Amino acid sequence: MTEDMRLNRLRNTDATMVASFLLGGLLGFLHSAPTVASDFDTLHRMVLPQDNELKWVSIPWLTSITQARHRAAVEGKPLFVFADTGAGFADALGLC
Amino acid sequence: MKFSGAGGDRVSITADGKVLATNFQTCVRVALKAWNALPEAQRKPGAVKLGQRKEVDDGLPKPPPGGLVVKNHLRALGRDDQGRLRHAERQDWLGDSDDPDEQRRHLMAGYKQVRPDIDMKVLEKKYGNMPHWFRVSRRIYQPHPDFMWMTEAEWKSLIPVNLRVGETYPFPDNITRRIFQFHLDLNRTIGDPITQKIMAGELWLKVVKASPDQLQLQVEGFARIRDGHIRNEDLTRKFEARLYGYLEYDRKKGEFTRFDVLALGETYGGFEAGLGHFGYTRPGRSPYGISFELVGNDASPVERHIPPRGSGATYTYEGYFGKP
Repeated sequence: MTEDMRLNRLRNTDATMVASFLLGGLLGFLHSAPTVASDFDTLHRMVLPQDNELKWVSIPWLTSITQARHRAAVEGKPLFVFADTGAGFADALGLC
Repeated sequence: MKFSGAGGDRVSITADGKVLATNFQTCVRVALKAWNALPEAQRKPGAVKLGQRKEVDDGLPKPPPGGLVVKNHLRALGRDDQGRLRHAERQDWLGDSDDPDEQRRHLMAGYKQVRPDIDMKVLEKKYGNMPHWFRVSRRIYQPHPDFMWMTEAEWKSLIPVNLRVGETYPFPDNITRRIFQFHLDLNRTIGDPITQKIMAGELWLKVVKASPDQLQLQVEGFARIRDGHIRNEDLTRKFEARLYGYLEYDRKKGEFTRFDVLALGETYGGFEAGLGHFGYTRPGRSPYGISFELVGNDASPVERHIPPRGSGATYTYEGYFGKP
């Protein structure tokens, strides 16, 4: 991409973006939108699970029922099966 | 053993298949009691002999060989009194009462404003008991995991040919479409993935640093996504976001070491009443964030196993990787 092409693309992109946001009524959001450099890490961390959330993600789940049965037999433990096929919500494995 | 469909199952069994508990809410507690009631001879290590069994193919798509796995978290957000972003709280949703009947009345009245095209009598008759149950569930306040896959050719296409610092170039079309259509999921904090349509959007990369060892790229862009199911354009649920991020590529190892991207914006419009999800509706425009981060070499089996958007009920493997 040449410099001119790049600049044109950016100009067009900026125009499209501004138009889209104006149409969408996002002025309020843009006003308070973060700047990448200063707020990115903070906001990225904000979306990620916090220490008191999604505790079950820390469980070393197995994804094979065959492996799980073998391990349960060897260790003398019951199996807890977490199965989702539709509305998985905040389940342990993602929507599975 | 056959498991249920949407909503899933929590089941506890013994290694030889004896069912200990099936209740969704009390499974672990009941199962432990049932397990401890079994004779010691059945519980001790090695008591159950399974023999050698072949792995059963679960039928799920597998990550592309040499591909990249990126983990998403999707989270409803709110704003504090000063307008600063915060995690979503219970009072952000329609109605705010601990009394189920009052809560339902508040919610119905509020939802009527968001979706005046819906017959409230039908809605209440069909889903009248659901709003309170939905609302008190902690899951709607927490982030929801998902996974994004890229083929080897796709992630390699992110590396620019021209490495001049300051140079800007577009994100590869296929990956852009995938992020917008499948991973800016405006329904994910509720459950079922839905068909989404891209109304507008663009992503581009900027070369921030290019040394013999490392390449640093900055991501910027925007997107406007809508629920693909609802026909009433004005009332359809939408998500408008700006995207930011940083990618880092180890040129000596030939691998990405950072893929941190954030889609931050607002959702608005009513959920599809037919799904019974109207209880999740929030008045006005609601902040919503989606994070992306690399699943590295220390990924768990789960992170290497679960396909994008889970079961794939609303897309095909070919549709996910292919062209629109």
